[in-house]
Amino acid sequence: MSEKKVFKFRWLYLLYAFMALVVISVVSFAVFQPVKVLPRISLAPGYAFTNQDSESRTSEDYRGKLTLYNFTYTNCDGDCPDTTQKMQEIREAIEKSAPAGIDYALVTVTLDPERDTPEKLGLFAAPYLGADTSTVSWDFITGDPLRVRYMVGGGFSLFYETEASPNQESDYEIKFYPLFVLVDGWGIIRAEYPTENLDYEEVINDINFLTVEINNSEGAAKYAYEAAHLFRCYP
Amino acid sequence: MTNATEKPKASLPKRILIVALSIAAVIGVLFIALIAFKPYAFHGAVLQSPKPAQDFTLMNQYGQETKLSDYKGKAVLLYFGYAACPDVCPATLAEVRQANDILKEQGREDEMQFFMITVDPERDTAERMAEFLGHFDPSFIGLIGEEEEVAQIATKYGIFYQKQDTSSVMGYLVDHTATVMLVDPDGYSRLIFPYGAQGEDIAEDIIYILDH
Repeated sequence: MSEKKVFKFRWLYLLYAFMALVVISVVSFAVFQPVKVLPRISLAPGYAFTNQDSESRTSEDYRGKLTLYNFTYTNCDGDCPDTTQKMQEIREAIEKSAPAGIDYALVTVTLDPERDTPEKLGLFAAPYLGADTSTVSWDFITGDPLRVRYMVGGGFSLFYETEASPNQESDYEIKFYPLFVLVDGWGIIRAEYPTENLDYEEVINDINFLTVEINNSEGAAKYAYEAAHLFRCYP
Repeated sequence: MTNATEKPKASLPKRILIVALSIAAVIGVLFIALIAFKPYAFHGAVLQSPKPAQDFTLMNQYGQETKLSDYKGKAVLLYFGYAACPDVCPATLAEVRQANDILKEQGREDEMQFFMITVDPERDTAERMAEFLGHFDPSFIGLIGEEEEVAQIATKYGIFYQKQDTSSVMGYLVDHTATVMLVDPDGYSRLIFPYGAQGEDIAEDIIYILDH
C-alpha cells in the first residue's frame, strides 16, 4: 500500500517565502524602476557676481529654486553657440507647462567679463527680457574675470578659451562648447545638456522629475526616492 | 481502515484558522522587516558625485600644511567661516562640537575631522583661528590660505562669500554660504547639511557613513 505524502506546515517555509518576497521586491524595483530620479551629479559652484541691472547676484539667491544656466558672451559675432535664444524658448515653456508651486530661475553667465559690463549685458538682455512680465526670473551675470573662470571652468567644468579674432571689429573671440546646466534648490547639479539644440521638452521633463521628487521629499515616499537614487533609476 | 501513519485531516474551520494565521504571520514579519530594513534617510542632502572631492592644501592654525586627501579614512566635515563671524559660525560650530561629542562618547572621535576654511583670509591669521576654534574643540582644524586660493576652493565647494562693510568698530562682516559639507572616508563629497542642522543629526549621518 502506497503511503500518502502529507504536507507539513513549517515556519521555515514562511521565512523562505518572506526572503523570496524581499528579493523579488528589490530586484523588481531595480529592474522596472517604478520611481525615476535625476542623478545628483555634483555641487554647483558658489559665486558673488553682478547682474544686468548692476544688482548683486550670488549663488545663495538661487537657493530653493530650480535654476537653468547657460553661457555666452555679447561680442559673439554669430560664430558661437546661440544658447540664449534657446533659454528664451525654455523660459516660455516653463511658464506654460512646468508645475506650479516651485520657483524657477534662469541665469546667463558671460564668458567675457572683461568686456561684458553690467550695462552691456543690460543691452544684450533687453530683447529677451522685453517688458519682462514673466514669473521666471532671468539674470545675466558678470564679475571678476578670475572668479568667473573659477565658476565656469572649475565649477561647471566648461572649457573655454580666447583666440585672436579674424574679424577686425573685435580683438578676440571666445571658443566654447554649448552647455546648459540644471541646478536644484540645494545647489546640486542635476542635469547637463552639452548641446546647442536643446529641446525644451527635455528640460520640462527633467523639471517634472525634480518637482515630483521635491513634492515627495517628506514622509514614507522619501524612502522610495532614496531607493531610486541608490539603484540609479535615472531616466 | 485508516493507515496508522496518515494523519487525520483537520476540520474546515481549523484549516481556515491555519491559513489565516499564516497570512497574518507573513504580513507581521513583512511589517517588522520593512521597519528593520527601511533605507536609511539622511538628514543632510545626499550627493552621488562620481568625482572625488576637490583636493586642497592649506595652512592650519599650527602653521602646518594640511591636505584634504591625507584624511582619507575619516569622515571630514568641511565648513567655510571666519573668526570674527558674530553668529552663524559659532552656532554651526556648536552643533559640530555636539556631533563630535557624540562620537567621543562612542570612542570614535578619531574617525571624524572638522575643518573650517577661512573666508576672511585678510584678517584670519593662524593665531586668530587658533583662538576662535579653541572655544569649541581642540581637534578642530582651521585652514588659512591666499585670497585666490581660498576663492578657488570655495567656488568648487559651492560656497559664495562676500565682504559687507558695516559702520561697526568690529570692521566688515563676510556674508557666506553656511552649509557644512561631509566628505566621506573614500574622499567623495557625500552630504550637505543646511545651516541649523542639529548636532545629533550630523552625528547620526556620520556614524551611518562610517559603518556602511
